[in-house]
Amino acid sequence: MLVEVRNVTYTYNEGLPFETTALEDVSFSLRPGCFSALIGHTGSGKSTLLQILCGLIEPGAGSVLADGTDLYEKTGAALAARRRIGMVFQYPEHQLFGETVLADVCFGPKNLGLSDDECRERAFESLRLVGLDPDEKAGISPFSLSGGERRRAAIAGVLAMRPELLILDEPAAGLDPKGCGEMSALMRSLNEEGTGILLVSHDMDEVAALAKQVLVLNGGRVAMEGTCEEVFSRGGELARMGLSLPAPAAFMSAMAQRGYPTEGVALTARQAARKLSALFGKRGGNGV
Amino acid sequence: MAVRDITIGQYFPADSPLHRLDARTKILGTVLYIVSLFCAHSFSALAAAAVMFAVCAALSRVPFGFMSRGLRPVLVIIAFTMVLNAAFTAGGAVLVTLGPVRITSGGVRRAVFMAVRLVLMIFGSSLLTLTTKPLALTDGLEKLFSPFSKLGLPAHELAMMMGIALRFIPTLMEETDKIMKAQTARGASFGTGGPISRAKSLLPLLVPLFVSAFRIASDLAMAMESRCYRGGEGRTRMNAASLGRRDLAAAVILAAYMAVVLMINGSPLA
Repeated sequence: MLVEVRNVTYTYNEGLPFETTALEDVSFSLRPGCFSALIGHTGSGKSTLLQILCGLIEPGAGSVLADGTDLYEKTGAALAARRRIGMVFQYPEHQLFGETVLADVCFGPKNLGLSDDECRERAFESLRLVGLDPDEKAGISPFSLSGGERRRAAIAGVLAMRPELLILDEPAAGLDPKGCGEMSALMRSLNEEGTGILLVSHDMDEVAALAKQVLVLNGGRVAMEGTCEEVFSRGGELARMGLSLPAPAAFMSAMAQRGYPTEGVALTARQAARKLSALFGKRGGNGV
Repeated sequence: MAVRDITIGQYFPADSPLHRLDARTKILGTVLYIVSLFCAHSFSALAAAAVMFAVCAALSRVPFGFMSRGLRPVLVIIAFTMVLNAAFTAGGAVLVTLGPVRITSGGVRRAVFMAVRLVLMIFGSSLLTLTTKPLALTDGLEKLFSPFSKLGLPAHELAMMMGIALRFIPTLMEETDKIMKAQTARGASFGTGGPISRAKSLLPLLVPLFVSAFRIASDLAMAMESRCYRGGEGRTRMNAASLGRRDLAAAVILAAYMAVVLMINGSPLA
């Protein structure tokens, strides 16, 4: 699904002394099956933008189009379009309420008006996708799951709606390294099967490892847009916005400052190693 | 109506004579104002109360629009009492007869009187929370209650409970808003359909809200204990509030106002 954001502006508490402009004239588009990351400092307008993208708060000006349908029109087509966009909020486990994991995961599909059998089928499928064994976990209370399992159950609840674009707000926040790895693998496999993904993250290594496109938000405006290589080669500008580089890129730029310049940007440790071995190999070192 | 439109207990940051008054003065002043509203038996006495409120509201520099926004949810209750009063008060000429119900001029008079009194009461007391930070408010309450602690009244605990309750209002509102959005994103719709489906649709909101409330409360208890909180005994304040000349002036004005209300009550104007 092609999602286009056109000249979106949003102001909180309009007309009050604590009026703040969260977004100003934001435009970009997400192609079908994309894997994009949205980065920005706290207060840059990310959360507001996400809520506008999934049809929750109407922008003060501008529009959001999903395959050409305006999300905020008062029509059935707009409602259908909104339901094709899934949103995993920060700490999604806080939204669990069902008596059983199955009931909770079925909540979304039921709201789509699907039959009980189909809801169950979808719930089992999405539980398997997130790595929870339905035969073992579907019948128990979501509150008796561990923290990481609860988050996966909550994500399954969103996946069960089979969104064409999935928005995730800091899905790995507070997870242990194993959980983070599993989350990355889940996002990657969903994307390979054709689901468009928009990931919000403060972890630049995660962004560099997963995303193909990066969108940088600063002070409510789109400050940069491009591939990982393009965005992360502008480390100085990112630093001024309170953002950092992925660890390998930061290391290479520190090397450059100490007189060991390399061309291009290294997003992964492997790329950095290759560049270093080229550099030192040329100077007669041992290589890496 | 969005959840965030409810402004009961909200503080409005501004620099005004009312903001700078000691919390104790404002609490006692508010109590006195409510008492005066119940003492007032005539429209002219209520007019005096309305003037008093208008002066205080102007002094507080809180925009009237912001103040009245908090009143909107209470309008239903006011309308309800108006209907009850109009329908069940006898006296005066009969204006309309609707089956067994007779609406009299006395009833209408009483209904309007009660509505004005209620509005003034809500506006007047909202001025207290609008101009006083929750922390100052609880400090003030604690000091006001402290003489009774010798009689076994847990003054500090009561004030702390009140303070936490006030502090939790915006937190729980925020939480409600968040959960509501998360469930809406999963296709839930709130506030549509018949009463039963409406009540049912609240379940996905209420269960996570309760879970969150307990989580936040236990986090808060942990944070307080880890900073050695163990009740009010032997606790002192960094910024001890003190009564000043401003508070004396406020007390004089309030006393004069109360005298005016009582005088109007006893005078031929009533």
